[in-house]
Amino acid sequence: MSERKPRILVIDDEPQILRFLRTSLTANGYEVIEAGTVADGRALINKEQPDVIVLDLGLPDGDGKDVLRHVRAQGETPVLILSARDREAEKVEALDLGADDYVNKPFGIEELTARLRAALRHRLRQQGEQPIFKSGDLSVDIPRRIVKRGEELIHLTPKEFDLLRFFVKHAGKVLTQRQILQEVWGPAHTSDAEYLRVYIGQLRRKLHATRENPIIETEQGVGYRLK
Amino acid sequence: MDDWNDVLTLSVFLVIGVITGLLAGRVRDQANAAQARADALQTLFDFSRRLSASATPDALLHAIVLQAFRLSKLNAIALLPHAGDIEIRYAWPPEDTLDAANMAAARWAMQHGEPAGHATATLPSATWHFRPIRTAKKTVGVLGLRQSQSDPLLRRDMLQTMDSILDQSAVAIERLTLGEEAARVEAMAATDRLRTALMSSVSHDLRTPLTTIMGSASTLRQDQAKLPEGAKDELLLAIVDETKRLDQYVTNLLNMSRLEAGELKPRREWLDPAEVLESAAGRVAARASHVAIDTRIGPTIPLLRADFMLLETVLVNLLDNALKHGEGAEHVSASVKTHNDMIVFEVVDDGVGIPPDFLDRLFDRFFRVQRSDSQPAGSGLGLSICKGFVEAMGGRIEVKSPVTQGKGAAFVVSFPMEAQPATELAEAQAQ
Repeated sequence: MSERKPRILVIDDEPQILRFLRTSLTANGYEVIEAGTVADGRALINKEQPDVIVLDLGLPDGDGKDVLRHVRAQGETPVLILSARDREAEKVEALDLGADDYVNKPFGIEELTARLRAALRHRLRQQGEQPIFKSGDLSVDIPRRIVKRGEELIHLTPKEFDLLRFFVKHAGKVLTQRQILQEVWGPAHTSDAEYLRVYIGQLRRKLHATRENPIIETEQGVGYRLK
Repeated sequence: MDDWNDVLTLSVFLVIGVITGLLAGRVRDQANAAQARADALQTLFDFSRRLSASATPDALLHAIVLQAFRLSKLNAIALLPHAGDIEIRYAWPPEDTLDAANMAAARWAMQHGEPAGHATATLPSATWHFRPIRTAKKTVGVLGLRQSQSDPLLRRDMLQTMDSILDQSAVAIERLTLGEEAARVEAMAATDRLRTALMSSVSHDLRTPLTTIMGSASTLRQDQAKLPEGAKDELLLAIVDETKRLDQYVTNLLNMSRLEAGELKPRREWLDPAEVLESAAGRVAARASHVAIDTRIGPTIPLLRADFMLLETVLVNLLDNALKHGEGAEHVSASVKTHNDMIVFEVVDDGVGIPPDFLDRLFDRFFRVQRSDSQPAGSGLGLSICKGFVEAMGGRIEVKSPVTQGKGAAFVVSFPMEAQPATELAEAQAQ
């Protein structure tokens, strides 16, 4: 992928939005292909094998989530959702179905491109899994269960470590409450938000999180993300 | 002589016996009649209670028609005036049409305030008997009974009972229609005031940013070559800022209409109040760099059952307000603590404060603090949305101003503390 431009498929039915995305994303070094319907989107995914997909959920001939299911049935191509701020339920549903991230409309291009880069990076990292995760001065050695900030060794309980490991595995990706609870506490606890609140609070405290660098970011009403 | 005496004695006994028997019979009849009257009274009493418990005209008609059916064992129907004519409003057993002859009789009863149709002198060929529901002033509706095959004539005593029902009904109907009318007039006036406020808000708060965007973008397009780099940047920044303001305004309008429509269904899930507060402060700090927001988290804040999005929106609005309207504010603080079994959030600034006259109306829709020396800022939606959201989650919002030394404003949002979930968590927290 370092040789050629990343190929991005934008699926949206608003010509104005397509127009500015085409201009901006091309200027930002992407090869842009476009679809305005669920049917065209699916056809282009099969034919063009995009590296990343930007998907609006409200499409004229059906539900954008159908595209998402189609993508996930085939593989792990990163998908970024365009949605309205007050549609939390819709976003959570899309993330639960395997979308990587979302951007609220209206959005600035700097935000969109930052999210796109993160999604692509995340996918690369997953392919060649590193045993030691590093972000800023935080390092997590998964096999040896060692967590450090700078030189300071941080002691975590087994549950806290499980939680952090899940975040590390999906660094950069928005994880929904349901996904985290299911993975760390098991399928019987998918709606026990209280576990998550308490453990996230503890984990942040132990990792010396601050408002400027919360380490694990709160995605309001949706879930969490490790930077 | 003895015989004569015996005959006399016997006769006396006989007479006494007959009289006693007659008397006993009369007493029994009287008792029965009294019982019947008592039953009738009880029925009427029950009925009047049901009438006064009826909050809507439909509930009332329901009660009247059922009562008529119960007493007469005949099909009963009620018709009320509607759009210059009368229409069937309720019937038992259910019935939604009357043939032309019966409608004519019902109309006649309505117009003349006299019985009509079957068993009357007017339109006697109709199969229904209609009686007007009259108040002191006018006829408010018509009650009808249908003749039955087995008992073709309506009994006089039954009609009398029916009239007493109708008298009571009329009063209740009049009371309700009057109340309904008054409520409708009041609601219309309120809607009207709201519409006026909304129109002026929309025209101002949508047009101003649109004007800026249009002006900046067209300047850039037309005068690109002539503009110095700095000026271009300034125009571009104006476009981005004004777009954000428009977005914020649209979000507010949507939130308000959700509240208005009663569509707001807050989620109730366990939240860490400190996390919500930090998240809100982080969001506001990211776009306002000139004043530092100081957050204070009290010791051992319990979890709160609320909706993350709504609560964060409230805190972001309050913080934005403190930065925007707390003129001259140097410090803005946001805190959460527990107090008297309540979880209490507080957003405090040390700006000029809020004039005392305005404190009462601060949470009203479209209300803006108008200071003599400046244009009112904001759309007047933020605080009314805060109030709506907080109350939808079972909390309370209050404002205090001044806070210290005649300066500043404090907004206080409080929620009752709830029994905490799962003991396993307490252990985890103790670590």
